[in-house]
Amino acid sequence: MRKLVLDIQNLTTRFESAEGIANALDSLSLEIYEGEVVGLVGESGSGKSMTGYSIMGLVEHPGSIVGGSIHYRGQDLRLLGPEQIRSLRGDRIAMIFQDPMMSLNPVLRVDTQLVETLKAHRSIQKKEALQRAIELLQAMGIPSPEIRLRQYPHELSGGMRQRIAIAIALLLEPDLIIADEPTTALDVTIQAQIIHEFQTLIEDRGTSVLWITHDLAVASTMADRLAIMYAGQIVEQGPAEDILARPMHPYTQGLLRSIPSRNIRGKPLQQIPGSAPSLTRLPSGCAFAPRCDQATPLCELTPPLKQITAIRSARCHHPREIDA
Amino acid sequence: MTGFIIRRLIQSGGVILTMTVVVFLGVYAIGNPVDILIPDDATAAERDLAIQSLGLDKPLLTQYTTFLSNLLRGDLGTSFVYNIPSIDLILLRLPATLELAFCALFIAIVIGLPLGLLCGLRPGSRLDKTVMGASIIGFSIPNFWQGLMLIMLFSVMLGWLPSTGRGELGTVFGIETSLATWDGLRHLLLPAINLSLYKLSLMIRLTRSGVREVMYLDYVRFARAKGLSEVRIVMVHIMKVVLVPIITVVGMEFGSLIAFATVTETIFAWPGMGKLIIDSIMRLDRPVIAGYLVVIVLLFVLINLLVDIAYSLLDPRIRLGGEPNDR
Repeated sequence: MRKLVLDIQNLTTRFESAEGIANALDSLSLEIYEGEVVGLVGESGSGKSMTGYSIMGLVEHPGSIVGGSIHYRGQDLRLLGPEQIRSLRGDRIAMIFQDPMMSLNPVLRVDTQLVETLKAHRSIQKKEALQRAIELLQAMGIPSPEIRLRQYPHELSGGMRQRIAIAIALLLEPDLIIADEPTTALDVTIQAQIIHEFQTLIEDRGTSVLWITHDLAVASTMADRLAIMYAGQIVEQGPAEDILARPMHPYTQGLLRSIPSRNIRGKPLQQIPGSAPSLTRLPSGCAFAPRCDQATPLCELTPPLKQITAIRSARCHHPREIDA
Repeated sequence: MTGFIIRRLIQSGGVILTMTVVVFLGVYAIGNPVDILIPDDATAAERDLAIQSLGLDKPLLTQYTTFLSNLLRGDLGTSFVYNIPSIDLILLRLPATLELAFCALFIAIVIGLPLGLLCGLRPGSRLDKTVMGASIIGFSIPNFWQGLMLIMLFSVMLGWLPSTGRGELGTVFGIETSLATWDGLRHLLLPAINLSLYKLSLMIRLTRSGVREVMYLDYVRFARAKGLSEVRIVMVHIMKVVLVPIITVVGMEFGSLIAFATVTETIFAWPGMGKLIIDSIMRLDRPVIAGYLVVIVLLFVLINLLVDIAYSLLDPRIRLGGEPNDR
């Protein structure tokens, strides 16, 4: 029996502004087991990144977590004090951000940014910390890491910077890494290299990963399990290959149809009609219903999360298995 | 780096040369000092003699080349009024002005930076609103009126602090300064506050907006995600970035502190360069006016050069120049 690393139940993160109340996360439940890679897939604004920030305790004003629980190895993170949360961050749960051009501090040298992370969690000599940093940079495919360490972020390419950010996340061998679209901003070739190096490192260490992406293709190469997000909710969840082969939620079906490589040459690319709804003006009932070609009057009621098989669930009144 | 400094030095030379032309024309083409220097009942012969001895009878261009060649030898002419070299007169008064300017800058930084930081970290808080409101007042009140109010409150009504003069001087490391004696400090406090209030407001606003801008950036969030302490995030990750523009402004403003000390020195009868220049303008003491302007411009140029160097030391993106090598 695999152990749970992270257990999120009914998590609701809310933003209150002049335009109204927006639930960036709307009673979201998600489990991540040891050594598992979970792909969290959705459009921009669906709440993927907010899921990561909520876990890390990095939701900023005017947002706040208003309900639910986040258990890390049986410990409710929402009940921890700021200092306890800080000591977990970067040590047991690490995060990588989307834009490598922005995630390293421009006025601090690379070695400073690596060593400070180790020093924040362990009493360690600088020399030892540097040695550790060099090993990891090498493992992330960075040539002559000793030279890179003495450079500033602006002297390095985007791919190099993201490798360093990933190395920082891996420094303390965390149990869980939240990777928020870490390869989106990179060239496809660099993206493939980094994914490969990252995969090797987490497999060796048995690290769990929450891989946040809008790209189903990337998610399918990485993830054991997929969770599809729409308007702050997880609308479908299950093993990656099952979902890709037989999506049940109309939204997932739409996403899969709109991947160019899956379409037939010469035919127009299929898209999901309309655009993602504003979180302050969500339709009542199923949030996807206005864009759904299978909607019925029943969809004006909020759909329950249906457990379809032991390992698959969908938040839809009419889940249907369709061969994609 | 060396090339950068050499380039800046050459530019500075150009600035100084241009300045001498402006100063010479501005000062030597306006007014006639002879009218003031000699008594009304002087004879025409006495008058001509005075004009001749001051070199005012020569063509303008000759006067300028004389001025320039004297300047290169460090000779800014002899004061018509005090009859000693004007450069000596200015350098005699310079320490008092520098002392005042440094103290004002010190107050602005020591109070302004932390206040701006606190306000930036807690926007919309009661502290933030109070300090922001106060800084608008600091910005808007005219310097001279604010000085008079300070004198009225602290010297006249409360009687806590003296209103004029520099007080007793002490010697520290061979430098005479008011900072060394209690009496000197008491004399220094009011003028220093008067001179600093505007810069203090500027410093608060600058720091606050810098912090507000940087604190929501991804690298600060990433620093939090790394589990760094709040102190390290604020003092290193935020402040080091915020300090870059602040250093520049501090440098520029220090020059203007020296120049604007004129008003403060006049109000508080502070025996610095500013008071000297006002007195000299009243008496049309040309060599002193010209000398003062030369010294001020030299100080400005020097400060800007130092700022550029400090700036490049702080921000590695400027130091190395050139384009970032992407990918």
